[in-house]
Amino acid sequence: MSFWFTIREGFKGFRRARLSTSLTIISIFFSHLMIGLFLLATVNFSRWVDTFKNRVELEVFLEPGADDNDAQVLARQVRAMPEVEQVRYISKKQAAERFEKEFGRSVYDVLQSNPLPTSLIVHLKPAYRNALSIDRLVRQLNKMEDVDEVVYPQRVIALIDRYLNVVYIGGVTVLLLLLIITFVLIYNTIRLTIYARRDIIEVMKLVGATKRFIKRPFLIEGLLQGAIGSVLAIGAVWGVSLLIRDHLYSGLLPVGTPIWSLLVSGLLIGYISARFSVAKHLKEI
Amino acid sequence: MIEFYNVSTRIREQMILKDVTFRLVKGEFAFLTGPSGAGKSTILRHIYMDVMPDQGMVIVENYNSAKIKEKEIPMLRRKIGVVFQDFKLLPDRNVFDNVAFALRVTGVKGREIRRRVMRVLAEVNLGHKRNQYPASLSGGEQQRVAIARAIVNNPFIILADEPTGNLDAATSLEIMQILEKINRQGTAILMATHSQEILETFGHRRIIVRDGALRP
Ligand SMILES: Nc1ncnc2c1ncn2[C@@H]1O[C@H](COP(=O)(O)OP(=O)(O)OP(=O)(O)O)[C@@H](O)[C@H]1O
Ligand SMILES: [Mg+2]
Repeated sequence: MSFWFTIREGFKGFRRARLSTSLTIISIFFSHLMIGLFLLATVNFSRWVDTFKNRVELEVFLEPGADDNDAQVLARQVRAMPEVEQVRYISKKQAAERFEKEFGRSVYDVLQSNPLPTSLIVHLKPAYRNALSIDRLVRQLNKMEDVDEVVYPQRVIALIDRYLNVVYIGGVTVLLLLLIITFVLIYNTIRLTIYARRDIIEVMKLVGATKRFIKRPFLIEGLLQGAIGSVLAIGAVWGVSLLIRDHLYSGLLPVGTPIWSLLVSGLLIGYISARFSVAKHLKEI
Repeated sequence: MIEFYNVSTRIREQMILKDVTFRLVKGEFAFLTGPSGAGKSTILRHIYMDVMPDQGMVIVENYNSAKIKEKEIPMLRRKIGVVFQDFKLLPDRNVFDNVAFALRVTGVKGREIRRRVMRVLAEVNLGHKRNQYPASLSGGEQQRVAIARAIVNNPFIILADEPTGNLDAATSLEIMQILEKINRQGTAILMATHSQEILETFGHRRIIVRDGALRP
């Protein structure tokens, strides 16, 4: 059908309700700016967490009585576990070397014998580098033969996981609230433009325009508001990233491709709220 | 081609039409008359199916109020022209675009729109004012634009709800002459009016409504 006619009528809605249209675009801009900054923070924060977790390793100490052969058997078993990426075997001798490297003196000088136990250094696959999986794995390891003790930075990992959850849930809650506010604003703006244009809607109905045709300019209006607000937000996030990189922290990672999810979200919320509003208010004309 | 069969309708618990039965044949010109609040406008609204009967049925061409689907109503309305006392022109566009509006919203293409709009504007003698806005036109001219918009889709009937209600006697006569001309070209006309003068000057059939019922 007449495409330009619909677009033109969609834009006319803007002019009819200038104040509420501006308010709506500002609110879409604001909520999507928050989402964008949240994404920016997440990208950088999770990279930092990943580097830290990359270094997380479990050290499995063997019973004093275990010999080289027992250790090899255990290493093979551990390597076969689904969570495990890599296992490094540290013999008594290697443990002594490590001691010397760390403390600058040979263990024999200090104790005349080598009491250092044999151990396995276990690296986890990325998906299992969290408190829950690690706890489960440690319990399993502790039950295995020849295992004396498993050592790992339990408190730090638990802490990071807890804070990650808090940040994540808090962020998502705030974003949802912002999106709900945006929904209400768009819904209301479309309601206002529908009432501002009831004369034209009445005439459309009289001359036989289809329902779909009558609705379309309002849906386009919602889409346009969403597009404008979110594109402005994308630009602002980009500007903020540059500012931070130039003046605060040069290692900042940009959000990258996921930034376009803002546009998708803007279009979606614009369309959905307009649809709801049209479904409710067109009937009342 | 328009038939009312024992139509009774209530709006908000109030009986508005009571057992209305009549028929309008192809190309007929008829007046709908009766006191204010009798139900004239409501009868017209039944024809373009803005109101549906509670009992009985309305048949318009091949559409039946008892069977029509919501989606078909726009198609029915494209075959009916409506004209009101208050013109219902859109103030934000000029005469040409007001008339073209009826074609644009039904998906007619640009060149065809121009041809048909110019033809109906000539029909109501307003071709030379096509670029003016409704606010700069007299009442009679505005009503002629509304008539042009009503006939641009080549309807088989014009429903006119007191089209001369806001106009002086001379201008009313002018509008009546245009309606007469349209009628002579084969379009039926059903016109609601109070005006005794018009009823007497133009000797068409009268359908008289009183208190929601037809008077024999
Ligand atoms: N939407 C509505 N809600 C409530 N009552 C209505 C509605 N539409 C019409 N009516 C009532 O129906 C009756 C008939 O109204 P209608 O407009 O058909 O009369 P009319 O003959 O056209 O009158 P007029 O000559 O004043 O235009 C009136 O009593 C009116 O109050
Ligand atoms: Mg009336």
